[in-house]
Amino acid sequence: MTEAGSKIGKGLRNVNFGQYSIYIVTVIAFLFLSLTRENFFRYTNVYSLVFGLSMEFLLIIGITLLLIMGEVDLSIGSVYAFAGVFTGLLVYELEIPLIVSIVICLTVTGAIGFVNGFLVVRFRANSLMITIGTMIFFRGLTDVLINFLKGITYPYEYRAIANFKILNVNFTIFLMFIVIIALEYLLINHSSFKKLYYIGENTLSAKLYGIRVDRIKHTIFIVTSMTAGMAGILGASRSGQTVWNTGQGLEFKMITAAILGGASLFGGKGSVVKSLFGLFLLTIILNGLIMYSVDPVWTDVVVGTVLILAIVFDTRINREKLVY
Amino acid sequence: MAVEEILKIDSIAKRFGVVEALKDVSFSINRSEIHTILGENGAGKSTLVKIIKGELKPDRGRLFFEGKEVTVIDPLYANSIGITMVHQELTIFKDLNVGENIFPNNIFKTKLGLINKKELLEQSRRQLALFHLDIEPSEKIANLSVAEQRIVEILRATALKRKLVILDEPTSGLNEIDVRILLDLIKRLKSEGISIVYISHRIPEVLEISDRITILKDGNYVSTVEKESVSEADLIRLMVGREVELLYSKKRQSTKIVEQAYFEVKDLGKENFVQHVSFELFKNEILGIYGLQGSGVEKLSQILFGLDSYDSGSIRIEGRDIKKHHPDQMMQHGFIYLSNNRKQAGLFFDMSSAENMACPVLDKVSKNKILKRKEIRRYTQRFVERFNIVIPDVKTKPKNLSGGNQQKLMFSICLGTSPRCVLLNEPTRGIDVGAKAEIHKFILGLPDEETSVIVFSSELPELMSLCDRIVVMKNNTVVEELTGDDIEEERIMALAAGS
Repeated sequence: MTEAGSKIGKGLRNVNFGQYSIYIVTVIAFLFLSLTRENFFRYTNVYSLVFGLSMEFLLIIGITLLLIMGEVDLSIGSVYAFAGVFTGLLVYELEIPLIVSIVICLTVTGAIGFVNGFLVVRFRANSLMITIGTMIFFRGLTDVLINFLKGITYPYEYRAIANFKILNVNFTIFLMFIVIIALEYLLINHSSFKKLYYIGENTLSAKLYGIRVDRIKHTIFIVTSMTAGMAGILGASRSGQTVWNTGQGLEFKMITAAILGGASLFGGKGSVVKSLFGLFLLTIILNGLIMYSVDPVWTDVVVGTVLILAIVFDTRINREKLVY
Repeated sequence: MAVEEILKIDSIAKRFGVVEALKDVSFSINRSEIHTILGENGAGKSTLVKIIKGELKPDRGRLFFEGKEVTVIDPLYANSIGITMVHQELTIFKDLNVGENIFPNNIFKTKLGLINKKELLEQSRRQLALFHLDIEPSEKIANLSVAEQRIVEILRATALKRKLVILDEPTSGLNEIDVRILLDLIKRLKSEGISIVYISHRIPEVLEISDRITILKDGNYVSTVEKESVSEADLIRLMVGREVELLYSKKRQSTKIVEQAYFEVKDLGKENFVQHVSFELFKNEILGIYGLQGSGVEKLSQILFGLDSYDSGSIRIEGRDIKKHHPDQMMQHGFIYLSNNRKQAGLFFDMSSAENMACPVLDKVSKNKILKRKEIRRYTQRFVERFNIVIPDVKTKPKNLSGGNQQKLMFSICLGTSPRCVLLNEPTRGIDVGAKAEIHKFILGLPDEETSVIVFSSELPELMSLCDRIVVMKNNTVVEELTGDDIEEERIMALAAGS
């Protein structure tokens, strides 16, 4: 091999493909569906995919931030459902003005996050276990509320939130791009956000070097619940009525998306842009199944397979090279 | 009795990428001898041991065990022919009892295939008695001291009629008394006919226990010497290839000390850990705190930095009581803590060295809270040069550095905060003599930068060569404070261990 050839070879070996794999896979999936299904790459279809994404992106934020620190919150799906119905209850049943209702709802979801975080931080409880508890609790409470409200349609102003448009584009799409890009920038460059990675990589070391681990974890648990609450309000606004099993399984979908985007259950890694790509990939895969007329009952089988494959590839690519 | 070779290492070579870890190393180990492999970090010891243990395949060369060539490269196979290893890190099953830890593979079964507990305990008791150990096999292992846990680990390796046992730094982290117990155990293993490959950085200990010593340097075989024919200085020279000055030379009294209490601890107490601890640290002084394992020294170091709480007493910095007591508050007062266990805390193994350096000084290396990458690189580079850290690039992750360089990096992370007082917990644990001498030099230079130092170390010679004053602890409290000519090894040991 020539000198130049070996240099290129060496250069290629130094590129960490694992770092970009989510982008590559998403682009391939996107191109594949665009080329094989004529209905896929149409403005209305792509727009509705992106709009759907903008309804859920708030959920991916909290999960990603928590995963970076090696924590997780499984209650987001339940909190999502609870927030939607609870706001509906305030507006419809108690006739509290919408904006006040939203503030009350976000305060309550913030309190849920406070409790989750308190239990994890104060009692050193495993966040996976604790939030399974809150997940079940709020799923149950949501069912109680729906049972009480029966199948109602929410008032017009509540339903109008998700449909609010700027320049004929749903505002949530703008919101998504702005928030995700800003947050990604902060995660990489801001000294306070950088602390999340230190905590996830080694909590003890982080403590040793003056990072207030408990306070930060507690804050992020609150943020996670509140953003799940916001997403829940948007979701309920979009569906317009009380729906049983809203948000069921959303927590696992979000974790799957974040892991596709390179986050790890062991902490220290994660990016909100990549997590969003992970979510987008899942979305187009599900859309692709519909385009290929696959019976919807297969959805979970596919999502499960994707998660397993993602984890297998992740561990293979990131497996530690032999350290001498 | 004729000398019989149990293991013959014949022209073993191993390369990792561009690094030649071992270059044609040949020597042999005799039956029932204690054979030490000595060398600086990166000399190739661990690579060689991994090859013997069947964990790594050599590029060239052959291994002969009891005269037969070893062709299967597999740790389980090595195990089956009688080669075992006890790792430096404890690998105990902490929820199990002593007996279950000695025989973890469930070899004693009843007819139904269940564990035969009686047999297990009986066999464990026999093993323990063999070495005159007063440990009850049904005791939970967590209730044992670190030294006893290590002994249990060694018994696990030897209990099943092993022939060759590799001991990797078995005494690291142990205090003098426990080291004695362990060395006695190792001698008894030898008299039982077991061959021992011993790895340690502690030269006096090596000289005491070994029959022969093989020295490796930069992957090369240097020589194998009989213990009787060498001195400590000879070994260091063979190992380092140069004279190392300063190792444990008596320290000249520092002239920088300002006799005014900078840091005062009064009547400090925490139930079951420390009680009535009082001492003060002068400005620009190097104070040593010494105590055997279980004397409360380690807990004290953690309490002082706010890693743990205390129930009574007070801590004052420059005359002011410290109310809020967390690591970040202590850092605001100019304190910093060097972890005694870099594998557990003190480094971020999977982040770049530059990110490691930036951690405690995030605000210093950022502008309006936005990190300045160039500044972080420059800052890291400065410390890499100052502390002679051997590192390809500031992006290199600590997991790819040798132990000595990891320790120096951790030291740099701490000193980067421009501390006014550093708490050093075992500052040279598990590193080679060269790196150790360098770190000692840095520590001795700290008072010149207006930094006060407290050193917590289980190595008495280290403390004696570094400190202006030594506080001795026993049974969770301070028993004596020594300065100047009163600092004598025998005297300190008597205070720390006496009744």
